[in-house]
Amino acid sequence: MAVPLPLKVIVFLMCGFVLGACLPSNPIVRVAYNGATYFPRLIVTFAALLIFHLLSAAVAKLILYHKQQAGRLFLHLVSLYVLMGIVSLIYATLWIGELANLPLIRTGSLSADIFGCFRQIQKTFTHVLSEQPMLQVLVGGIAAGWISAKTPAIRGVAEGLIRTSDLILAIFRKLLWFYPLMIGGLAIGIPMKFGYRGLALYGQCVLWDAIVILVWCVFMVLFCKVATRRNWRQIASYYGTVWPTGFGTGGSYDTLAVNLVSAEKDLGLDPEIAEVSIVFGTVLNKNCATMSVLLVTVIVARLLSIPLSLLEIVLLVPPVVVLGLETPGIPGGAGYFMSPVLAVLLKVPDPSLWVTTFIAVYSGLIPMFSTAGNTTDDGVVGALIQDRLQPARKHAVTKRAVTLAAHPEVS
Amino acid sequence: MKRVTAYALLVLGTLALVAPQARLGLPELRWLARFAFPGEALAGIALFVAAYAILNRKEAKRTADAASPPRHDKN
Repeated sequence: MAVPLPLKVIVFLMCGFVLGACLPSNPIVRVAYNGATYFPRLIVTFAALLIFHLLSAAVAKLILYHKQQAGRLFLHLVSLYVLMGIVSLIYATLWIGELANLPLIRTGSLSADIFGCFRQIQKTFTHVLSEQPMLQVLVGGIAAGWISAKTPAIRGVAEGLIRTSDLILAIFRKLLWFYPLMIGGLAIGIPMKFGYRGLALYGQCVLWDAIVILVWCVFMVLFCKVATRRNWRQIASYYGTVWPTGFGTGGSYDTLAVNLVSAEKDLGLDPEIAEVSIVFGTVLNKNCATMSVLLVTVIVARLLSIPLSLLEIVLLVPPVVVLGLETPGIPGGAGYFMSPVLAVLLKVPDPSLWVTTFIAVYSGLIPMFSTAGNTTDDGVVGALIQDRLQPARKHAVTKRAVTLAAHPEVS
Repeated sequence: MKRVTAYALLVLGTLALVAPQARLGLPELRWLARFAFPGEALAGIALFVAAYAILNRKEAKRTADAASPPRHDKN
């Protein structure tokens, strides 16, 4: 019987922690740690290239494939997922304020007067756009995907971007067997470099993540009951099926089939709404993963003694929302692709160490909680769309059914 | 010849996107950072767009033809 990937990751993570804590000076353990850092560092080197293709292809795919397929649902869905991404990050920021006890503003990080503050933001923005490749890629990737998909004369560019992006994701999926080994190796570094304090902070991060995401899921259940016409039985049945599957797989794409079936069968969504909202959500919606990313950012900053304020967390919200739209739904994908950008935004002195530590912390139970939250949120959005934002379509269908029953000759 | 030009643009685009980030990544590839200059990532994006436009020009032509409005005969 094949051992599920998340279980393998947890076992290797624990082994890494034990080895790093018990044998920190052992040369073989050190080689295992150094070997595991190679792949994340390679990702850092090629991060701009990878993120450009993933982001531009995601934007192009949205416009090329889904707009016609989803018709009038498109705008509602994209708006709802972006809105939910923003709301969930504000929610996570409030929790960070409560849990992490960060200062509101770091002394010296921003000028005291409001004009000085704006000048500094403008200066930083200009500097960042001219000097930071990752942010140039964020802006340029969205523009390239958007323009190439919208302009028929250069539609071939969109096709090229999508093909390369699919190739990148296929390579990453083929390398998933390596993921537990790499996490195990990187986990050695946490107690080896930071001692038992590192282990304690990882445990704290998992606890924070569990609290933040479980409370969010409770809010979403209540929201689903209040804002849609689903009853408690339907909601419990949907969450009872999809939440454990998302938690178990740790990847949105692995949960897609179960989510689709359960959204139709348990939550009672129309097939066309379920297909569009769940498929869109699987690609677009990573709101719980982005919440976890903010929490992991605080913990990794503490591990590496990087000063952090609540204002900096707030400033991370817009780029993290954008990154959430392009993060691939593979286990730990958010860790790979968001951490190099966060390193740039936070002006981390050693980005390689930041990325390897970030990937090690963003592993184990954290992506499992994130996926469980992401996938169930997709069903709630589908129910909201069906009951609240598409009433005209529903009424039209009902009216036509009544007409057909009364006057069969009309058909 | 056009395909060779497109592949050359892809190589240059890859270099332009990788070079500015190379000093932060794998030590063995840090030498690539010698080719970095401000705004290089945007130049890399432009090179990739040009390369894909050349490589997939038939696809683009087909789409543009399909998207153009049908001609009406005046007679």
